[in-house]
Amino acid sequence: MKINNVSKSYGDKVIFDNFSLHLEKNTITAVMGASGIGKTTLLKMIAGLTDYSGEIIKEGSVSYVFGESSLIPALTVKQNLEYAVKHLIANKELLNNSIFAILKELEMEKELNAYPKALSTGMAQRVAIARGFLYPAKYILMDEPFRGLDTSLKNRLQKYFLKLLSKDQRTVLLITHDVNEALLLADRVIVFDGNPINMVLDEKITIPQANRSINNNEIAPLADKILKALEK
Amino acid sequence: MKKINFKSSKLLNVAYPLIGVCIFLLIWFIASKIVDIELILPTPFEAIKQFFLLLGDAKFWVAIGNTLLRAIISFLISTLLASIVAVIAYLVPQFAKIINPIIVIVRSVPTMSIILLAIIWLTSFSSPILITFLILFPSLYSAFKSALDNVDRQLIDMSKAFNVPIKRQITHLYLPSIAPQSLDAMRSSASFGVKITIASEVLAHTAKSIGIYMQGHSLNFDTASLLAWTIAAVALSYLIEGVFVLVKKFVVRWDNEN
Repeated sequence: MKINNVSKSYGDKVIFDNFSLHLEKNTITAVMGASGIGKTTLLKMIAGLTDYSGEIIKEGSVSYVFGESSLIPALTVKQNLEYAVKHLIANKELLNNSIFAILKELEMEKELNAYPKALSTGMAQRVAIARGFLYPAKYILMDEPFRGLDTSLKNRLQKYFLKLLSKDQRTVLLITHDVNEALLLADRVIVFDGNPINMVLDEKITIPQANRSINNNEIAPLADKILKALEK
Repeated sequence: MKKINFKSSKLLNVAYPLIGVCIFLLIWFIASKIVDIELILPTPFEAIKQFFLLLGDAKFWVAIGNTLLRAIISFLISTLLASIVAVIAYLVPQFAKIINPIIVIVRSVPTMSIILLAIIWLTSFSSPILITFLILFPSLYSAFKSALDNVDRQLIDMSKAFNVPIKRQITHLYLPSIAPQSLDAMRSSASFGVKITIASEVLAHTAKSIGIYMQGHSLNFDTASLLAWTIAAVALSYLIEGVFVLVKKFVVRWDNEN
């Protein structure tokens, strides 16, 4: 994906001014920066949910995992998943099988006919992640998908996410406020400062995800670097 | 000792309203005994007796049918037009700005002015329909418009992000989202509509209606019969509200299950 010279303003407030960013295929890029700086706006521009000037070149469609799960309360888990993809997967049997398979992968198959009201935050987030992967797209945009979850649940969901990604490679742009999350999941960490947005840090992480730990000799200095960039 | 589960006890759900009705009847009974003039305030037993006598009278059912028909016609017109106007106002913000002062004016006009004007303009049969429509339309419009405005912005964004066809957005997102608030507004409007229709019938002298019989009994100081018709009107409103409660329970299933 190539974001070339993109500009975006809300009234007098300039969010992006000739901003450019290239994302490598099948990598996870974590985007960090202060709240309200424009990280979500970046995802919305890529998804075509808000207008902008400049160009965003995509090689395929874009899927989205929203922070607050964004499940329709009136629809069951299965119906919520169908809602997002039914127009793309016409074969009913294939659709049913795909939904069941992805929910099984996330240990959510028992909740197939449950309404969102009956789901815990972690379960609802798993459905949102399932929807993100079910949608046939080259890119997945994730807006703080693990926000507000306790550490053990967050770790479990992150494992589910990596498991899905290992079987179904996508280019991921992940917004997060959690340095550990960025370091454990991403191939590249970007820190934004604004306004307008500029990149104050752009680091690649080459260690395989499976070998990463926050105490690792290569990871620990990176954490300091990111924290310093965030303090700027 | 076994503890009673107050929340789930269906018996108590029936018992509490019954206690309320009994207290009301008791107050009515005591008041009638204090007044002690049947022409002014008969006992509840007398009114209930008159009510059961009415049930056997064909003119009662004709009047109920006529009033109900007028109330339903005006309710359906109000609902249909209010929903169309609310959808246009939701889609075209400029239209919302134009329609808003008109809604405020219609809502601010005193009910009595509307009734008196409608009586001048229309026949005694149709004026209650116009009156009820003019009173119900603004509140239904506001309820539908606010329900549409309250549809979760993030769910709309989600639908756009996944390129969900507009038809599915309407049936799976918009309609279920607006259903609870809209059905509540429709429920109170339908029962209020019956009351307005009856009031309009009284003033418009609409033949073979609940209103005209009530007026007749009022002129003849037949308070027991007047109260019997009132009980009928209350029962009618209660029934209509009950229908909407059931409809909402059926439609808004996701709130009842799990």
